[in-house]
Amino acid sequence: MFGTQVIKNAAQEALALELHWLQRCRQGDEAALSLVIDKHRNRLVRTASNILRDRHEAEDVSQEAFIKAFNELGRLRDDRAFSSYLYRICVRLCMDRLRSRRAEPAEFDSAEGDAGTSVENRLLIEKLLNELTPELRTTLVLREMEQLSYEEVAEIMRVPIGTVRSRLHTARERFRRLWTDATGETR
Amino acid sequence: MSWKFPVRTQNPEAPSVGEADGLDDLFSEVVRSAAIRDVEVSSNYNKRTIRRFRVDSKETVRYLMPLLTGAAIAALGIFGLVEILSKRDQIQPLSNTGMEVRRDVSPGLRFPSLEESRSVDRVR
Repeated sequence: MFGTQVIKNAAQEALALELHWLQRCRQGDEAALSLVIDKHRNRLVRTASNILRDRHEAEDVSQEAFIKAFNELGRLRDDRAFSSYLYRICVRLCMDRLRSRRAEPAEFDSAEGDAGTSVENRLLIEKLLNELTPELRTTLVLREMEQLSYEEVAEIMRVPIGTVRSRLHTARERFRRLWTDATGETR
Repeated sequence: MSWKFPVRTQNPEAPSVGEADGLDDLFSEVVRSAAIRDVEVSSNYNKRTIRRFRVDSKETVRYLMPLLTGAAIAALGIFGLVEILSKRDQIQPLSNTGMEVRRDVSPGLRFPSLEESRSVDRVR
């Protein structure tokens, strides 16, 4: 009970601090811009890396997301929504990159995996993810890799929860079929 | 024509609902295993982002400048048109009805007189 209260207070303090930084960002304060970037950059780069499977492109996209968000700061009605707004921009930019990339041959560079996953498996998973449409792939990544709730995925992708469920089902189904075709095993 | 209950036409190779859920969980695990958990961003990430933001803001202004100039000129034009229309009745109409052209013969036409005592330069 006491612990929950402490966490709640800390979250409120962090939010109040961010609101203050955003006010300063509007006045063009570079220190405040840097503080806001510090707070969100790891999450953005991680999500973009999971969707795009390319660390350099992920950095580039996340920077673009920051720039767009800062440019639109004047139009933002509620500063408390900045975090989700920024995240949504980043996911959209990732999807745009995936769409433009589909015509080109796939390139992967994130073979350095977490312990427990072989490099071959990881590369295969990345190759199979590339076979999915940007919408299916992004939904699958946000749900499985980023472990977001259905509601959060729906809010970020601006689609109804039913669409998230159906996309997720289709994505899993397709991924399973591709995996079986590629490895000959059904696990 | 006989009607068949849809379940009878189910694909015999399709997994049951329970099996399908189990497989979903397994393949979710497969996808999750490839997740990137920790990322390292470049050391100059913040600086580069801020620099790009500054350049982007300047470029936006430069990009919009012709549009803004055009809008300003159009606004001035519209303002002038409105002014003219609102004061239309006060403006004298330019019409040559009731006018005539006449030769102007002034009776008191005088030429300047030259004084001989003065030098030529001064007359000029």
